[in-house]
Amino acid sequence: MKKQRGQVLVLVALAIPAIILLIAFTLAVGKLVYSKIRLQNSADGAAYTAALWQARGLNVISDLNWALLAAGGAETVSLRVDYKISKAIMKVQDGAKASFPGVAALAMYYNFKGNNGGGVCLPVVTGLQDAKMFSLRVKRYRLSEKLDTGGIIPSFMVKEQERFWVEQKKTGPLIRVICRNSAASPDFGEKLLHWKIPAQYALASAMPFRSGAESGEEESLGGLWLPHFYPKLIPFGIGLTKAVKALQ
Amino acid sequence: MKQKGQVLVETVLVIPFLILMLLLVLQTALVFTVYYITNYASYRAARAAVIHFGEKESPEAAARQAAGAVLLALGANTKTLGSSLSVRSRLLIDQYEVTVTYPCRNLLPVPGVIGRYIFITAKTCLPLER
Repeated sequence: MKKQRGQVLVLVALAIPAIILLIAFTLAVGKLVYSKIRLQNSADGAAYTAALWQARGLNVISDLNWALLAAGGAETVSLRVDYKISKAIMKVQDGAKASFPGVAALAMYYNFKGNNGGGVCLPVVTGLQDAKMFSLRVKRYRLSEKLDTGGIIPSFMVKEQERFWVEQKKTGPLIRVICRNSAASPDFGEKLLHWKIPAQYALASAMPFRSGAESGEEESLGGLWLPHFYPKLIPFGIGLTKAVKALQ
Repeated sequence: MKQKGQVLVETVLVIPFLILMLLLVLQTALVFTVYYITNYASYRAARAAVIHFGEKESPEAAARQAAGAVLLALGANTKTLGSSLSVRSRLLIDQYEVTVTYPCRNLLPVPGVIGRYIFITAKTCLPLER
């Protein structure tokens, strides 16, 4: 009789490991999803931050264009044709053009590290266009090469490819990043079952947008005369064709 | 002999409860797993909606596609996805809210109380840029 009493106990003893396994699996899936969401948020934040610094750089250059106009005009009127102040402003503009992309890259990196706690964040380079990712893609506009020998006449900054800058997203100062989470351990079942959170990847893309670009507002004079750039996340091409087909 | 039969009866009485308990645990694990997946789908959907907001493609369509892609990648049935997935999205003042509902199979044999499916709902709210 005593032997038979243990019958249910055997069943329970068999069931308990299964129950623990199930609970551990659930928690592991939870952690997997949580780390994926955090990685994607970190990738978005990284791309957004880089685009934010690019937008700031463009806004600074836009503001300085006006300053250059005012200074150049004033110096011409007062016959100070050495253009000392204008040249100083041009120097600052060149500095902004050179330094803001680097600041953007640094800000991107540290933003990602701070949000995700680890992992790698790299820009995506697929071609020559992308190699200029961390540049503001602006250039000096000279009225005439003959007139302007040696940079005597103040020259403004314009967008490098005015026509395609916002419309064709590939040619703007577009940020595309790929982020990778290093393989981590779920809190349960790591030693006993060798469960692991695999290396995860996330893609994000952002660029400085001109406010009013959506409503089709026209740009004038190279499009760098109004400091109205703001960062915006833009869709990164991912394969949705299967989902589109299934949902039709 | 009499006492032996008693134990057998006891065992027979207990076993259905035991199986029910096991199914309950299994069901709980299943519900939580589906909840996590649905939650992730709603997150991806909200993100797609926010990113596509203000573009030619409507944010609702982008949200639905993104949620469908997540569920397909995690093993949803291609044929029944269109009918089983429900994505509702609405624009709050400066935020975009996406609610994804996806059915989870019910293992518990309690007819009348729970149907064949338990509907799992997850909601994500993301701020719009600008």
